[in-house]
Amino acid sequence: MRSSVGADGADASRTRRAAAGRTVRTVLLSLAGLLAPLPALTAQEGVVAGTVVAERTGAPIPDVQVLAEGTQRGAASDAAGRFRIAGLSGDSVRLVVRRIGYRPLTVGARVGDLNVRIALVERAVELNTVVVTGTAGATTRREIGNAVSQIKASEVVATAPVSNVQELLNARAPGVNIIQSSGQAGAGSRIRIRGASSLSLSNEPLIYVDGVRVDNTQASGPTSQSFGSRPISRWNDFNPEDIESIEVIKGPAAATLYGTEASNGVIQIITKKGTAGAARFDLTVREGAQWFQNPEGRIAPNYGVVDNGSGGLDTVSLDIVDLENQRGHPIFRTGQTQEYNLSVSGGSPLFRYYIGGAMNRDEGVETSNLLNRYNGRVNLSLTPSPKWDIGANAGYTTGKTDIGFESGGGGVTWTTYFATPENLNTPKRGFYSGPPEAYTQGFDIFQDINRFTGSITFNHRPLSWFSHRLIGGLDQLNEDNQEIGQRNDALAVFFEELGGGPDGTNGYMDVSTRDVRNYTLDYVANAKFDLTQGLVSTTSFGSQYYTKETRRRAISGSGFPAPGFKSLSSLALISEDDDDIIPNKTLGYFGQEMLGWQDRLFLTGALRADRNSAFGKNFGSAYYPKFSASWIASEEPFFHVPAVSTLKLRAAYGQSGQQPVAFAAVPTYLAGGNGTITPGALGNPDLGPERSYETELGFDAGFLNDRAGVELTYFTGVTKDAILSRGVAPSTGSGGIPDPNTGVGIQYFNAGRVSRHGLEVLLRGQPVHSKNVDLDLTFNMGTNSNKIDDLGRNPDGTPVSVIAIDAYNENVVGYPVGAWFRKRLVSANADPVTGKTVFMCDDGKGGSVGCGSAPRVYLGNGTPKSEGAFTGALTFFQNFRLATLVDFKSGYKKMDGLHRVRCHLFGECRVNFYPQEFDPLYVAKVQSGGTYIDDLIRDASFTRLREVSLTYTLPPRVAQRVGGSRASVTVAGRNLHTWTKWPGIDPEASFNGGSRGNFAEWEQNVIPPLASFVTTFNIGF
Amino acid sequence: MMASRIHGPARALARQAWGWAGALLLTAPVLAACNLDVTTPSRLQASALDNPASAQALVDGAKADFQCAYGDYVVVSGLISGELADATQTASRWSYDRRVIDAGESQYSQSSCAALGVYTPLQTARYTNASTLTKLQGWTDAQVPDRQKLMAQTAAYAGYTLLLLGEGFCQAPAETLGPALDQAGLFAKAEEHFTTAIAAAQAAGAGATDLLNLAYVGRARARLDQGKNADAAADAALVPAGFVYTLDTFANAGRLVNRVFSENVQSASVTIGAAYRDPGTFPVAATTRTDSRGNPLWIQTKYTGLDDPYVVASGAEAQLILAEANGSLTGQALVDARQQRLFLEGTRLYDIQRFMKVDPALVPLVPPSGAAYPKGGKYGDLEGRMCMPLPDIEKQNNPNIGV
Repeated sequence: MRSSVGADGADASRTRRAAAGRTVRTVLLSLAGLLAPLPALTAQEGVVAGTVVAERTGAPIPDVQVLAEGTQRGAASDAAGRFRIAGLSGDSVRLVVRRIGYRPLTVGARVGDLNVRIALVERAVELNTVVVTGTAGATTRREIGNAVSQIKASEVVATAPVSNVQELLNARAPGVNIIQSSGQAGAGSRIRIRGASSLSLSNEPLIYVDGVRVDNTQASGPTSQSFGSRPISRWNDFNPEDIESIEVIKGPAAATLYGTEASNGVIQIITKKGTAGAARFDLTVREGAQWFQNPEGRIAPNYGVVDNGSGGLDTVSLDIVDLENQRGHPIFRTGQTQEYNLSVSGGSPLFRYYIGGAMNRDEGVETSNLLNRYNGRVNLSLTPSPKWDIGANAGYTTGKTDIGFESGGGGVTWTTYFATPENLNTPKRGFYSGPPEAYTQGFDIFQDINRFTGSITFNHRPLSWFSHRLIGGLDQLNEDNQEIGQRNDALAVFFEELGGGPDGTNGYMDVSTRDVRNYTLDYVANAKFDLTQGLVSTTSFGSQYYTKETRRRAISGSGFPAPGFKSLSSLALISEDDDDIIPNKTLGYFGQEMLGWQDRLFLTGALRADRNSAFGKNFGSAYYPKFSASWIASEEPFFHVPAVSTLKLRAAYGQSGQQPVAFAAVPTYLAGGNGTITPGALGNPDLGPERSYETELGFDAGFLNDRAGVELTYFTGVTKDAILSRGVAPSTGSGGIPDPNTGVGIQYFNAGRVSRHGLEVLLRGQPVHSKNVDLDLTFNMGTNSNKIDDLGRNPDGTPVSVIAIDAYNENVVGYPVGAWFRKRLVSANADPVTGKTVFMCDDGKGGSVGCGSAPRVYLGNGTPKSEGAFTGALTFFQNFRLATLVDFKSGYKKMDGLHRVRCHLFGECRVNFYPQEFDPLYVAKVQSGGTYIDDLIRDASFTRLREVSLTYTLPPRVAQRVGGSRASVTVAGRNLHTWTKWPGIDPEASFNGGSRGNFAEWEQNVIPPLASFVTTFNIGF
Repeated sequence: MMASRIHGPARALARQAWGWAGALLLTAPVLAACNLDVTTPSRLQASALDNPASAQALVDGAKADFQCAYGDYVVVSGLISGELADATQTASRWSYDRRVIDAGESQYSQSSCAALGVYTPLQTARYTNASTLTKLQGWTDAQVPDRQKLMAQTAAYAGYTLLLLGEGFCQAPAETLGPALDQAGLFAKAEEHFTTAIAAAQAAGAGATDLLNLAYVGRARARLDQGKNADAAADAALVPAGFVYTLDTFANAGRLVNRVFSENVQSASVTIGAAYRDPGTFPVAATTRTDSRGNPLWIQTKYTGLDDPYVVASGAEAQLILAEANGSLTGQALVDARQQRLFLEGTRLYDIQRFMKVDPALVPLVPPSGAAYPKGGKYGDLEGRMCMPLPDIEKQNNPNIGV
């Protein structure tokens, strides 16, 4: 571990070598001596005490070494950032303050002052922080040859308006793209790292919590959305307040050791652990409000024909939002958000603990939308001996999310966005299918979850050169998803179509459960030797065994005997729709050798072998190699570049894979209902994992004594043997029933190849640093570009050039994965002879051809080619901090499905009634009934003021008056302004998964991301 | 971790070896317990069914596949022919109703029977019945109880799937990844299967009388479709006038419910076509419920529950075939009689096809081709042929069919 911060390179190297043999003992003895519970802070002779905080956030920093210059006296800060040094003489002392990740600081203090406040500034580039993700064991950033993004969650959540993990990740790591979906409370997002690389499989990264693989489903819940989309993400089960940090590795070069399944990247969540010291209580209370910003201006008025009372018809428009406001009952409410977090941590060198609990209650803008979530976490660490320690981490989440229909599923958004004047003088009041209260009263849609994630980590250091670690863990999830169409006889008088059941009004009930168990067994051993003077060898071996079992059950029925019944047992008719178990197992091994020269040049080689239960019977093991190099050039004796304080050059090459869908290799029969069987998947005995290869080059540079820093990474790679899905000819007999795990009538095979490349950059700096004003600026940006190189061969040996995903998206050689392809109408003119309209489409070659035989042509990329964020934090008068986060996405197109339904299908737009006012080509498209929608695939680039917050840290004496040691108040806003040319409701509103939310984005009756304000009060005791 | 200072790489390697041996010793018991075997109670490997003991399960499954496919064909062909009209708010199924079908649309080409597919369910039923028939033919009476009767059933159902593929589609393969046959080819294949069914039913004896009559009606229909009127009449004449062959449906299985009832009455996804809203002529009724456009929902009364069995073949149909084949019933009278008596039995679409060639006035499309479709676009007539196109999913993945 590097400890001589600020020394020149040669001195630092000597210091490190001299200290190497004493490191463990010194650290443990220091901890034993310094981290014992602190006595109460009272004025004493010869004592200096105070608190160390992060200048950028004001959050306390534990484990900071504070030494009295010229003496042997010092202390380390506890979990609350508190330190106390006794036995000093004289009137004043200079304190030397050091901690990894922060610039060293020397400050003066008066002996006897017990309220010294020390604010440390983060280094713009820090090579000695420990990284655990993607490595054989915990290692320092200097040693690894690939980029790893770290998000200091505990600092972010202290002030930023984030309420879940996905908001925590959003825009804080270059190359990590959070694709928002719905603004409903409890709704989730999709995550893509370095874009999409798989043509048929999931593009979702793996997620680990304290080393245990956990369910990473991004679209779960009741089927309140259509086309396979579901609103709730499992990522948000974890409480951000319990998270210490998040590490993101972004591609195969870094994820090799995770083997099969890791090609989409890995996200490691590291929860908070106790720090030795007195018990520290931390209470955080958040109260806020969220709302649908400017619905009047974003929900377009609709047109229709109504009886004018004089025997004629008038064309009128309807602004349903405005009309309902005038009627005194706005369609969307302002939802109240509440969050309460309480944690306690502390302990001794032998035993440390962190215990936290949280309650969230978020109201959505629809009255039926409500998130209630409760989190609990207990993390314990036991270190009985320098040779071994045990950590036990357990988290539990329970709660209920009530949601409404949307995204093609109907509901308040459906009936509002498609409102029609033709229904004005009916009980529908102008709404399309019934007023909002008909949905909120008529339906009950929710998800109940219980989730336990626990792990035990055993670290053993039996020899000075040998250590090993075993992690065993479980992630157990139980979802109960229900959709109840209530029997509501009073409502049915007016809105019979809202009911269900044999007579249309007696109600129905769909219940589906999803129980998932993930077991992790992870063993890693490390041996470290000085081979020669300055040359250190670290050899690692590891083995991992992962099992995942998903059990789905679905029961539906109809016919409640009377209003008020909402149970399965009360239904007149019940049928079982699904009862499926999907198991998957992976057993992998890896070996790794890392050579370090003078602690500044590191070469690493590794090989991983995996077997997986989803591989075909003819496929054996998959092998994934990696190589990487890291060179701290700035520590070379010859390095003297003005203003450059740190320079690390790095390169990495690696492979990883992605396993096939379970059972995709096996020809099966499935249950066909009523005790019958029917053909399932066709199978493929040769099926193996797809393999991703990646090369990554980059550097980390610090300037001006690390006041400014740059991290730049270029990556390029390919996915080979990509698993493609081809439709199965129905004449094979397969496809008569959709296999819920492998899809409808499709067969997976290895054939495709996708290449990709991109650039990621992170700039950090502190351009202003003065006594009363500090300004920190960060800019991150990631670009990605992918292209399909190959799609395999036809049965006759000719290359496949196109695989249609659906009617809107295709995989085409030479184009991005899942891009928009559709016929483009270029003219629609009347034939002078027949008088019939002749439709001419783009022929893909610069000309036109009759639309009947025209090809589908490329209309745009479906996922952003670049995304990034700008963060600014202005700290003034020590106690005030103003922070902003502005993020952006660009280079992609999205389907304006709202326009498609309103204008093309429902005929509610002005163009439907006054076509003469519009371009004839546009009119022809609108009148095609959804056939020609090429102009609805539109640029969805945007820039958004995502977060803005003002934090006031109360002076210590004020905090102490209420019994605390530190207190702060933050007022923060989220999603307050957007700059975009997107003509729909919101550039980020889209389906969450499913066929309309996989590769591309599609907006259709979705609640947009909500604007919110939240006030946070935090106090530490 | 502290690095050990040792003397020379060789000794270092030796010590590493000891370390690794210890590590492996520790982990070996754990890793040995790991295995990659997975089982699931909700799937069965297809190879596990290749034995005579599975015969009944295969036959029952094939019957369910046919039941499922038949219900969808009745609804889909009813939407196209005008017996039914779409009443949903979403667009995915309007193409049936509008009579403009894109061969690449997934709803049309890939949907299962539970999702109102049409081509895929028919091909699945054809495959399972035909492949089970082949297996039964390879086994012995000693191995499979009632083997002849089971053969008669699977052959008859396979014949019906080929008959419906021929009547509903312009072309289709009649075997796994086979070439696309035209309608005449499909009818000939159907006739072959009905002949096999008749022979097996006759061999099975008295217990297979219903299957025998089913096969006679089916073969008569296949022969009539081929223009073999005398042969058709001969088969039809063998069927008792009161004969009705029904297929059970089941309310407790979403895939096996009576699709006509579930689509029309339960979910109000289809209403009765404009030309059929005459309770005096057809078994239909108006309701106080509304469809997606706010119009009164019309329901059929032929099927009154989710578990009401389908009528697949009947003596009444045989009589109509006989009358048509021997020329005793012709022209509009014949068309109207078939339209009324075979309402929602999956015959109207092919009747439109064949009679429009005689005189389009006999089978007017309601609403006519070119009329504005209420939900956008215009009504078509399946490119003038009133038969469904071969879906792209078959063309693109069947090496014996060129795209």
